[in-house]
Amino acid sequence: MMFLMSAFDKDVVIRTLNILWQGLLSVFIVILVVFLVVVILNLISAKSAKYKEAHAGEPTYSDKMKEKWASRAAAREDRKAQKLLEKEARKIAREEREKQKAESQENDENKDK
Amino acid sequence: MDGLGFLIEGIAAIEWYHVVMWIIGFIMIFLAIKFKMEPTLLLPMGFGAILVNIPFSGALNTVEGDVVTSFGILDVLKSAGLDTGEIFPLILFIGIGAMMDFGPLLSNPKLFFFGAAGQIGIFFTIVLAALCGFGLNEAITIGVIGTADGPTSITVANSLLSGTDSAYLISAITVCAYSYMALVPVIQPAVIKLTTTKKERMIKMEYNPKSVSKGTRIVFPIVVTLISGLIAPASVALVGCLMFGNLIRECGVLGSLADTASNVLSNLVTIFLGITVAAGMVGEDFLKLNTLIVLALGLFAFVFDTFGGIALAKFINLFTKKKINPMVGAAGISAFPMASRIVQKLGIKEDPSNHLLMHAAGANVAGQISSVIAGGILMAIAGI
Repeated sequence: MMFLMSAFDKDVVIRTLNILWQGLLSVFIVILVVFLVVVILNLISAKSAKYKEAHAGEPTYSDKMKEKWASRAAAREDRKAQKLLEKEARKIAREEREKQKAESQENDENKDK
Repeated sequence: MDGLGFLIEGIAAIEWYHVVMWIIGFIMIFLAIKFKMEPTLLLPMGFGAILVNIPFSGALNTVEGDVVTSFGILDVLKSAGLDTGEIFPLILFIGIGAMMDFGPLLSNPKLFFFGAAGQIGIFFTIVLAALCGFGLNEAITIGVIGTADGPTSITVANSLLSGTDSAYLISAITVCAYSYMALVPVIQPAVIKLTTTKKERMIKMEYNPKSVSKGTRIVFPIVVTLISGLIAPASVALVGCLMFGNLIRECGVLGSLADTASNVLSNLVTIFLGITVAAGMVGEDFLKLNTLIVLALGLFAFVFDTFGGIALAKFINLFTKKKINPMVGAAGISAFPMASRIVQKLGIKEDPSNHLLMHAAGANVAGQISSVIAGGILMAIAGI
């Protein structure tokens, strides 16, 4: 091995020594950041589990939202039905008016005759 | 008889290096079948080594001058799957990601640091390779054998050496990485026994599995990709493919894709990868003194990786009341799942009631993540 070591390039060795500390430090920094993120994620999910446990049986935010949307949908349906009814009533009234108008015209014509 | 001369043309062209490579091929096939050492890769590689070392082999391109007169399947596969963007190893990573359960690691994130410590061998091997007279990029690729991770070794080696005079080292590095992964059950117990006392190996560790929420499991692969990608953009392909596979597994809505990635896809790519890697094992280029040195340096990298994890565990034990079994640190190398199985086996051997598997599995998957990150960081340092 010694004959190999005698052939090394000093500059390359110095660069590899730099890679040694840079690389090792970089790996540990990245892993430290990932570690911190995982700890935070675990804390958040533990907190959320605790909250769910404490408020078991109570309607959750999504339940409330579902309820809100359901009531809004029902109100929308009611409004639609109301509009339909009003439209229908207007239609009947218009037909009634037209009928009366036609009858009065017929009466007038009869009178003229 | 002159008209039948072509029958002995091949036989007459046999050189000593062809025969040596056939023997190497036979040994690889023997190890794969008899001792089940990484058979999925050693067998195709062994057969490929025989295939490419038959004189005038039609499995390789036929070149006259600088012109390719006929294409060979192995050279075509190599060009498409390895030389062009390292497609095979990266696709294999999707399969590996789909196989991995990060649960034990996420429930005990401290194990991440053993994964980082398990990469120490890479960096010391780079210095040693430079001292042996290798150039910078050659030294880096030799050090990458210490990731104990075939796809990462292939990707980094291809990125740094493809198209250079040192391209012949790619095959040596790949063979070395996979051979030592197969030899982990031999290398690791020896290193562990040499560097730990019986008392240390008998340290019991409580396992309190905390349930990891589905949200954490889903967010984890995305966050790791973002972090490693922002810090070392060169690692995005490696980390991204690994984490994409894991996201498919954890999202819960792509069961059939996860199943395909972890079984069919990875098996398919493994078949091609093994035999394609062998395309570089042409005896004339492969049988050089440098190949032997690469093998020796690869062994050093594996030994030092194991030692790195053990040393970190011993260091932490100096300051904590709850002691860590140093063998768990040794599982911080990427060879998954062999390293964790070995630790479990050794733990039970010292004390039948000492089950270390889950801790070791956590350190082992941390090693997988760290090795990919280390590969990306090295590519970034090398300026890729």
